Amino acid sequence: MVLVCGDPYEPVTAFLCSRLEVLEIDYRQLDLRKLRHGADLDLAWDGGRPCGSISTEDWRIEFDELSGVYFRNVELSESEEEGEKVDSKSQAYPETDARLAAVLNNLPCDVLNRPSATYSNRSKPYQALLIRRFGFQIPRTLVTNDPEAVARFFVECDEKLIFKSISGVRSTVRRMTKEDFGRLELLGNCPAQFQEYVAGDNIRVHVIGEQWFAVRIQCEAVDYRYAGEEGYTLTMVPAVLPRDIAANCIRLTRELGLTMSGIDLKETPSEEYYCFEVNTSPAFLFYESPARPVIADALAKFLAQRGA
Amino acid sequence: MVLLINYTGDPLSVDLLKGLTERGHPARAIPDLYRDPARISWRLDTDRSSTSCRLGAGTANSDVEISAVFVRKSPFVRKEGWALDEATYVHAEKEAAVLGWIWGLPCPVINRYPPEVWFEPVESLQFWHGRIERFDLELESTQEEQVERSYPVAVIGSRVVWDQAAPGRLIRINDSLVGFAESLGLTYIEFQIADSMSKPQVAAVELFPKNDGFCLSSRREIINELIDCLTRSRSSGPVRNASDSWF
Repeated sequence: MVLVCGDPYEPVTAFLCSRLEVLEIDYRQLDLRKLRHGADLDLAWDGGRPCGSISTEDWRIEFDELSGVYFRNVELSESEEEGEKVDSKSQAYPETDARLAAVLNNLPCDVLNRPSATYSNRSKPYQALLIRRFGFQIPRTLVTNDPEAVARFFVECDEKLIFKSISGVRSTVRRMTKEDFGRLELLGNCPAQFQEYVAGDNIRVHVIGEQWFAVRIQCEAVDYRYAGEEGYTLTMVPAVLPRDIAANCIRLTRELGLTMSGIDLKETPSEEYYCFEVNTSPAFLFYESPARPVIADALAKFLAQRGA
Repeated sequence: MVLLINYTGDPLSVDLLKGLTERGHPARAIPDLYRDPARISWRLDTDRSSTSCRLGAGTANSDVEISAVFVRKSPFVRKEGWALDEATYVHAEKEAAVLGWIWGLPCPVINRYPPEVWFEPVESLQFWHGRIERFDLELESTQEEQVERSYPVAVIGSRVVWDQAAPGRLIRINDSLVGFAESLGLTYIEFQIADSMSKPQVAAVELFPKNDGFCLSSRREIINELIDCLTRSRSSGPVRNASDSWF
């Protein structure tokens, strides 16, 4: 039995459930929006492993029935909840969520992904420290609140610089121009991340266990996710990765404590591979062909422990 | 120089700063690394990582050699006139920057927090249940009828410091407490241990210790241990990944 934890109306979760049904894989859905009111955990611990069951008004699953769990956390959308969230006391897990997180972090079956492993990309430079240990280049990077340091870095990078958030909040990538120098004083309020601009094709790799699925994105926009808004065209084609790069993607995923990831690479014209980020809860729909959803189907089969 | 970052003037940090200074170790308390007059730049490339910083007006860049860092959790601050989403964004950016930076440092850092506890501090004991059991510890039972009082205990590296009032029988869990801390890659943790009839039980886990529940002599011992950890000549780099080189 597969357990899908998330918001049933969120597109990625909803699409996975649709594929589970098409593939006739038994699953149950736990609506995380209603967790505090709509689910019961019958929980005991044995040597660090959770024992028991989870149930709603419609179903009950014993933990040892589970072949795999998909976990996609819900975003807070209400402004009042956001206000609560940033209060220092309310940042902690509420009790129900803490118990579920403890279960998901410790279940013996595959959990994609365990909650404790999903936080690394809240700091891009933290992730970069790990990424560079796995055979990938990372762009020259400066994290700073010092305008003079940015000015020097701009020159060092031959005026080919991008800037983006450090945390992933408001994570649009923008090219820096000389006009931006007038705004550098704003760094006094908040640091920012600057990187050398790396030319080449973006490649998005989704890793699920030992499998990988790569897509080459050909687009002139600095941030292809917003290509349409900026008037650029975008083409996606399946990509073949060199064996060592594919292996590095799998190892990096595992090292981050993940079973599934969405890895952002760039291949330069000289065939060097740069890695920018590992998405720990990848929104793979953007890269999926509706007619042949290979990622979703691989995910569904992995959760069910079926062969590829 | 030892930096105490995200310094809020809490008693632990005040005592640590005083202790470092009294023992002749240059130390500086920095409330916010990314707010004037502090200016910090962290360069990270494929094969190198380096920091240059100016800590106050008139201090030249790159003059400060950082020998160790003591990390506190910065509180969420909403400046007057700032919209909530702006304040939230700035807080997230600073937390992300600090986390990356402390993991890139080659010098001793207390603590080098893993992302899962840095970004989402956990108050619920239930969250730790699996890990507590794996180290042969027991969670405080709410069903125990006769739970004796609880005692604070601090783990600093391989050292364990109990409050002086704690009964001697509790030290039998010292290795488990150290193991728990090491499993998270943390040098400094506090626990509250309930002295139940059957077995010592974990009543609280504090990953951002306060050093405020101990008697005076224990507090001093903890401060001394922290100073030793921060000022050892052999650097203690990140413990989470084996055979790593941050350069």
